[in-house]
Amino acid sequence: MNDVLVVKDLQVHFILENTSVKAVDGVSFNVRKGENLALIGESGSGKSVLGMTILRLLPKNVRVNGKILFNGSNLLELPEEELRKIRGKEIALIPQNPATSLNPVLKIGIQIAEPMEVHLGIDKKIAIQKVINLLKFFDINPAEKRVNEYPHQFSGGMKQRALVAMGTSTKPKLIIADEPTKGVDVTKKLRVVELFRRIKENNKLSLLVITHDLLFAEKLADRIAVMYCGQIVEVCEAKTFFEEPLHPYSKALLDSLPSRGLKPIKGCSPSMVNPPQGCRFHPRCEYATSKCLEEPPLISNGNNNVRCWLYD
Amino acid sequence: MFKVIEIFRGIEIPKNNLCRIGLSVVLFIILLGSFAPLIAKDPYETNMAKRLESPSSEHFFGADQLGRDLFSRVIYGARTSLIVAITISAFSMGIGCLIGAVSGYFGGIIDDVIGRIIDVFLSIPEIVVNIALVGVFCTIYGSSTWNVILAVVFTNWVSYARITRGIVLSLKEREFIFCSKAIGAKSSWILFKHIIPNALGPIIVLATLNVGNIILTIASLGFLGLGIQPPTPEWGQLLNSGKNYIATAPWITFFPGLFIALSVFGFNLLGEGLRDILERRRIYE
Repeated sequence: MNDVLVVKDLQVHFILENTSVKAVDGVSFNVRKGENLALIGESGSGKSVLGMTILRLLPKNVRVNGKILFNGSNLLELPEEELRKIRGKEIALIPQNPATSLNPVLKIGIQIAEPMEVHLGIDKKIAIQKVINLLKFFDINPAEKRVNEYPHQFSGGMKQRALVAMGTSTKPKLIIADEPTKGVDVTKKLRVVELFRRIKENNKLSLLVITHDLLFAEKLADRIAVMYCGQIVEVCEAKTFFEEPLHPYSKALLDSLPSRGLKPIKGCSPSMVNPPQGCRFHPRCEYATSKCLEEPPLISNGNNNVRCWLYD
Repeated sequence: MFKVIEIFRGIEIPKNNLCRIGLSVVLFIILLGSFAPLIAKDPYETNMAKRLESPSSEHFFGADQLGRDLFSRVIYGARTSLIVAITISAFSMGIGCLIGAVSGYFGGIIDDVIGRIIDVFLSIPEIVVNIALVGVFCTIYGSSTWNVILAVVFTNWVSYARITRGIVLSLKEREFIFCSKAIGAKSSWILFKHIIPNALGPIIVLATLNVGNIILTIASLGFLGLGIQPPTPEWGQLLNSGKNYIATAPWITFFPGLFIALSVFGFNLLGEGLRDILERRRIYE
């Protein structure tokens, strides 16, 4: 019972007219209490879809199989009304684009107060008082004035902090942050790390960070899950991942960092409509053998779990 | 209410000529109507001695076939027309926006059903339905101004519903709506707190243009003898009563006609001007 969230064999397929896009295909992982788990992978590997699936925020043409257990109940089977009580209260989602995620015609204060009004039934005036304290906590000063401003009066970084304030206002047990460093300067990335650290000082919560930014993940995460083409190929401690990654994809990903030689991975990421047979990475993998045409299971190797025949 | 004010904040009306002219004309007519008791004489007082008298310094617009002061009748007519037109516009806006927003937001079968109902309304000429309805209401409830209001609202809400539906369709894909769903807000919350305030700009433009159209509709009904009933002065009805004297006393038809044209012109210019301002703001955003 050390896990906040357990995802078991999750499949998310978008149904199109005559094909289906397998955005997430057989993903299992868990988020432990109080930990920071970073979900990393290239664009289009299904990370964000996975994040949205947890709160069931996907469009209607989607077929979801598997289990998402939160506090012992399967989120995929909960009635809509029950789920609504979890969204923003127990699990908060911090969206990708701070610039467009705030309503342009409403004051910031009113928007940050929304989760508190919706879930805790707090009166608007008291909620605004709490918002002022939150803004102070996240260095948006002078808070009394800022609370009555509109999103266009905020800078990009302030909008992001406002969204983080909104996410934490109800003291959720799990925060899913979707690409929190998207569009953030290299010089400001450490501030985002610090921002998330600061949230955790006061609340005992778990963090699921979805990112393609390896350096950011290295600074923040306790554990790393690597996603490739709709599957998780490796889950391990952050330290091991950056020192001795196991999966050939993880190795290739790290080698493509500027500090480690800037070597691009050859080939392109495969189509999600017809993913390669067997191991999804084998067409691009330098260790590929004929065995790779069969799909490898998630093999545990010490503390690490890796989906590769090399470690069988 | 303060959201409406917020939308208009920062708009400098004098910079837009259309808006400036339209607003002056509309304000002029509204002021005339509001201060009617101070400016005008009793519009009901008949004086057969002054029957069909031509315009003079005593009776600016002349007198009608019963010797009533036409200037007073036209100005009191502005009251009737504006109050009725704005009431109709407000009711239609309330009903139309709600139906359109629900249709656009929930989609699916609800949208299909509402969409077909709207199509049916659009396929019948409005004025015909209005005439028929006023007739029906009159036989059931007797004559009253509410007959006209209800009959016109019955066909008029459709344009609001269509516009609102369109705006909501594009708004509901915006990220802040997604964000609001992610914090667990109910559909009604999202609709009233996020979608409708964002849709207000184009709706206000439509409402302004719509008031002009409604003034015409009311006048048409009045001219046909189905609108607001005499002796309450109303422009369309004044036109009707003057039509038999058009050769001998053209002022009975001329002045009400002028005011109908002027007020429609004013509301249309104001609407166009507001559209220029609000659309430009939207593009800028």
